[in-house]
Amino acid sequence: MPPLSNRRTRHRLTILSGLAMLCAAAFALSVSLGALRLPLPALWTAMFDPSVGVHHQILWSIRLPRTLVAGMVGICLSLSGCLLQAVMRNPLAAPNLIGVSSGAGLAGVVILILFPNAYYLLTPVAFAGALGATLLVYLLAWQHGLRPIRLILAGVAVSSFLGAWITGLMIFYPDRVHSVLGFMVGGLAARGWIHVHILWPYAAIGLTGALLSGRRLNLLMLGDDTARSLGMAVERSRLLFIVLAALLAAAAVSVAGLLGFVGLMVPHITRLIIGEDHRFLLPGCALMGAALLMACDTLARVALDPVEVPVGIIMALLGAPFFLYLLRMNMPQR
Amino acid sequence: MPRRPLPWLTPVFAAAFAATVCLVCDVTADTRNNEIHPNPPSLIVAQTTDTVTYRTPDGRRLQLSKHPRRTVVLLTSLLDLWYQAGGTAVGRCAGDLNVPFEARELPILGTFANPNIEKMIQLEPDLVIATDVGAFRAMVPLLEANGIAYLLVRYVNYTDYLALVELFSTINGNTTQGRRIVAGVSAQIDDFIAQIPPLPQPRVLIVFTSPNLISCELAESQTGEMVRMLGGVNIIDGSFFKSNSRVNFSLERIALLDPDIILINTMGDVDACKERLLHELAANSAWAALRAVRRGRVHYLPKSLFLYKPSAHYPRAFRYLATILYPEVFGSLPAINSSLEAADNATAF
Repeated sequence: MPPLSNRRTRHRLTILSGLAMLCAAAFALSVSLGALRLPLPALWTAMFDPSVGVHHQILWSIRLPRTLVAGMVGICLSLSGCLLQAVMRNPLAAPNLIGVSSGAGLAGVVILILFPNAYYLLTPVAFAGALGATLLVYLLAWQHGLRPIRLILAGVAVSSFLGAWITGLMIFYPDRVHSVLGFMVGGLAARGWIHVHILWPYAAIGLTGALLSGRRLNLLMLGDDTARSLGMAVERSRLLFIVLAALLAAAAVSVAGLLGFVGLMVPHITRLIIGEDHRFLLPGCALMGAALLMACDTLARVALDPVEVPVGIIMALLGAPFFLYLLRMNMPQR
Repeated sequence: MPRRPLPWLTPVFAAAFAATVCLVCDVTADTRNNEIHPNPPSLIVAQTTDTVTYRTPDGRRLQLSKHPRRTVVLLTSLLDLWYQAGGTAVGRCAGDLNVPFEARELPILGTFANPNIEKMIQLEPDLVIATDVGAFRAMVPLLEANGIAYLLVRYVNYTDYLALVELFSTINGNTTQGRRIVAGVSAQIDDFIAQIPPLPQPRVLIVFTSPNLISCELAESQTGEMVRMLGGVNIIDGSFFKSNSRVNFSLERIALLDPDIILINTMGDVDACKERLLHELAANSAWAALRAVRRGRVHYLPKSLFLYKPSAHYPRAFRYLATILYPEVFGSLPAINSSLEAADNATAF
């Protein structure tokens, strides 16, 4: 590992600072733009002065919690994707590959289609579904230890199986599909403080884990044998990271629906900017994920105001070309 | 040396962006010109003793033979209307609501989204009736190849109901009966409208499914049209999206517009959802601050009257809504609510 004092490291720390500023800018943008348009000083007053009435209500009860949820969902999904790509040593690894999306998707669809009265259970049931499907994938892939390729194939098979149930339910209850669409595409409409309270422990755990596990992930990337020879408990570490990734993704998906793009693309985008070293890549992913989701959610709110576009659509429409652009640029750090 | 992106990449993205903008402009074209017609335009273009030429939802003119003997109806709300207009059927799709008594034992041809075409053709129908949506449009070539006449219609709201009663009864050779039905229903609804106080107009938000999704109904939706006819103002009226009766709306904008009344259409069991939802609305500071929530004017709408098509029971639906909008004129809601729910259970349509 390179010592932290060399030039390349200083460069990466500069990039991290840049990403932190980007994140702060996205936060400021998200809090200041929306259906309610106020000049900045008035916005500041309205935010902290309850006597301002409906403007305070809008900023404090609707916009601020939604921005925080967007940031935390971005952090959780991108860290989850980054961890999985490292653990599996596979660039296509993402939360949906270990069954998180299909598990949460099926659980969500069952609630919204079969038990619409129990809609308030959507978040906990989707969370349980995500973890249940991940556990199933893990058990199916386990055979005298865990090989990444087996985990990926088991994940694809389980996702297809659960996906068939999702599609089947939507076919047999076509009049109820409308309520499912929002969850399947992913969106942040009407997310409030309750969702902030659900998410923040996971985002905090994810961020702490991200700051602590960079070195271990770097070792894991060298291959199982090399990592073992360097004294690492490979299987245990891998299990730990998969559990962490599943928890992060399950929390995010249960709140924001099936946002597919973040977990796969944000780690790649960040890698192109900051390089492969996970000590920098993980915090970079968290910052990039939060910034991207907050910025895209702002756009989702203001692009067709007062109509809202699900943020999942904006993410894919803007994120994919941006990713391709970075890919074509072939950043010199790689 | 960093490579430049492919030279065609930028133009391709620009073109994709432009296409998206055009699409958005197209779907958000101004639809404020959706006045409710006191006498909706007829779907019938011409008729002879044996045929009817009608206008399709996309503006084409098609001819049908009158007096079909073996009709298949692939939507239960159309089935109800078809029987009301003097028709009979030999097959229908699955569903319990809006199925007339005489049609309950008919062969079931699958769900409305996924009808079994082989089973349908086995019944040798001479007319297939369905709504003009993708799944049914896809069936058209097959029906034409088998020489089966079809009638794809739009049935979204009350205006469509009046036009369809006229068309269906004309096809069945019962034009007079159709006119009588239309006149009877219209007269009852006109009576409610005549009792409405001129001002102030209640400002209404119609939410579909649950407040967490903020999917709101527009003027063209069934409930949206009824609110408008009864003198209410849909706070999302006049905004965007042609050919779309629902739209995902900004909660911030709702807070700014601050409706007087919130109506909720749900897929779930109304009674089971009601208490929890009202509790949640009061507990969520964003919703609790709304005038409608503070004043207890949040109402779940009965599914049989507002989510599904009430057809012959439109007057009841209007009466129910009028009571919500103008309790000072039409009496208190709970009394009407309980009698309506009891009637719903009795007729089970």
